[in-house]
Amino acid sequence: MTSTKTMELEELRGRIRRTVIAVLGHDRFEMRDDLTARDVEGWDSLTHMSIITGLEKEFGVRFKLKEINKLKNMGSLIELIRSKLEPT
Amino acid sequence: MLFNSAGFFLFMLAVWAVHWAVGRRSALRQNLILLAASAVFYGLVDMRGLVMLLVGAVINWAIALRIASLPEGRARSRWFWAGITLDLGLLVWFKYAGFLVEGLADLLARVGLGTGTLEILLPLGISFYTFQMLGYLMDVHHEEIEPCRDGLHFVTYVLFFPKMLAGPIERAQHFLPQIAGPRSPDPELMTDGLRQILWGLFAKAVIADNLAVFVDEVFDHHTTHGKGTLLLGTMGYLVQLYGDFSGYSNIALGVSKLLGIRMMGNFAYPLFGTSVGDFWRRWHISLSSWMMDYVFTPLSFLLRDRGRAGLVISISVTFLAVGLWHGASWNYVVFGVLQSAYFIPIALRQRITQAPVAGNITLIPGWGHLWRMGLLFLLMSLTFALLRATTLEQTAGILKGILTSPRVFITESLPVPLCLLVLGLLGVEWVQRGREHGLEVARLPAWVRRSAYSGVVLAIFFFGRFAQEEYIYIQF
Repeated sequence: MTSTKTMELEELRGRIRRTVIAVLGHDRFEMRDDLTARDVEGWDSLTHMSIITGLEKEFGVRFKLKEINKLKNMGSLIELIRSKLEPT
Repeated sequence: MLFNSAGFFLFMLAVWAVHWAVGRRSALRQNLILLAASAVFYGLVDMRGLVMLLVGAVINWAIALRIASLPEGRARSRWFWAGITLDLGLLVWFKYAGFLVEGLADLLARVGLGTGTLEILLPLGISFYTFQMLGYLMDVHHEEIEPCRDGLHFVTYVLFFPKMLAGPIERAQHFLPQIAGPRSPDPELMTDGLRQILWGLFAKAVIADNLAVFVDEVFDHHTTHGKGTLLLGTMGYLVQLYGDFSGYSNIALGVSKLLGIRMMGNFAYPLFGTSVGDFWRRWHISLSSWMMDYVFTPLSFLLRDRGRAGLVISISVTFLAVGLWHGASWNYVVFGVLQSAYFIPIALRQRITQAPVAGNITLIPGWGHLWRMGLLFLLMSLTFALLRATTLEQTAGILKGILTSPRVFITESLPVPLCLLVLGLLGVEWVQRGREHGLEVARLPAWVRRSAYSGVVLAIFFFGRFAQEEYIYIQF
């Protein structure tokens, strides 16, 4: 059960990473939980919205502005997507 | 009471002494002293504005508490929109009603229905403190911050005199925690505050106010000058405006440090920017980041499914808001439109952060960097002329003169010492561009520090103009 969850998490991280790469056009960042937009070349206010839109399409979810504003780092982004994907 | 006046110096000295002597170890006493000093500072200039500001601050404080006490739903939204309408309504009334009425009167006059104008006295600093309160309400509504429970803290935050007249547009989440507890005197912070004040005075009294003489001559008599002088005048104005506003900001930040409070920086060496995006990350940061967080982000989020069109609309509206923030005039509208015209092509290629940042460039920049900086400086000089010119016709006349005047040579020259002082400012700031301000020299040997202080003091003493030149941004 735990390993299935780990696999799901790894797949989730992989899909997020691919989406970010598709927007920024490079893969020069590590998928750490404490990674922030400031640490990633080209991840600014403009590309941020493209990344958000890309993630919405990739995972078939809709974010709220309040949720986006509260994001602190990659860990909170992953957590947000996981919470959206969990069956209610 | 201007920052570069003897009156302010004495006022500041008195506030500093009372704040640390009477207010020691008591946040309540310290904040009461700050509030009283701020009320005196503002009330001496505009008593009516002070009453309006106090009432506005208390209402915003109460509305934020009400918003936070309600669950998500209609009632919460109603309170939020009531607060936003009140703040924006007052801003629009005081700042833009005259412009709108004038436009309407022009229209009516054209169809023969008579004319009329509206004269409204603008409360000082309204654009700055209104944006603080708007941002605060939005942050509380979006649950980004907890509302401030202490009314004294909130009113002190809104009225804090160093930022009262021309910013920075300080964020509540940055300021309020600093006044929540008692502050102890920090000699290092105070020393840095004094250095920052000194650097601000140099930029204002030596650079900006001396350049003003030349710039005023060029702009006020532009029809008599050729392209060389006009071009130098527009470039001179950008440097003057930078010296004036960054000087004001440095003095405001320095004074605040003397009272144990750090405010957000407003400038990060914008004249060394290498792209339009880079420039706006460095120029009037408290306004540009405000616009980014409270106008661009919500709008681009709302329009995110519209692709490039959504991005173009969001950028255009944001820069139009930046332009109109300066006041009600067609010059400011055109300023905003031009800035978005420069920015949109870069944004569409998503290459905002790909230009080299001055902080990352080595001490001696390459030709490529110099070329980009020079080009951006020229572009911004021509655009910022809109903030100096009084009418669109004047701006058009200056630009036309630059493009078509047959007189290439500079007929109205700048004094050589002033040129050297401007180069001195730029040289020091280039070396110090990774630091908070040009005179942040704590890490340097004592003899270098003393030489730097002496040099700046002597420059202010010999070249400074203290003819009560008003700070340009106070009018906005």
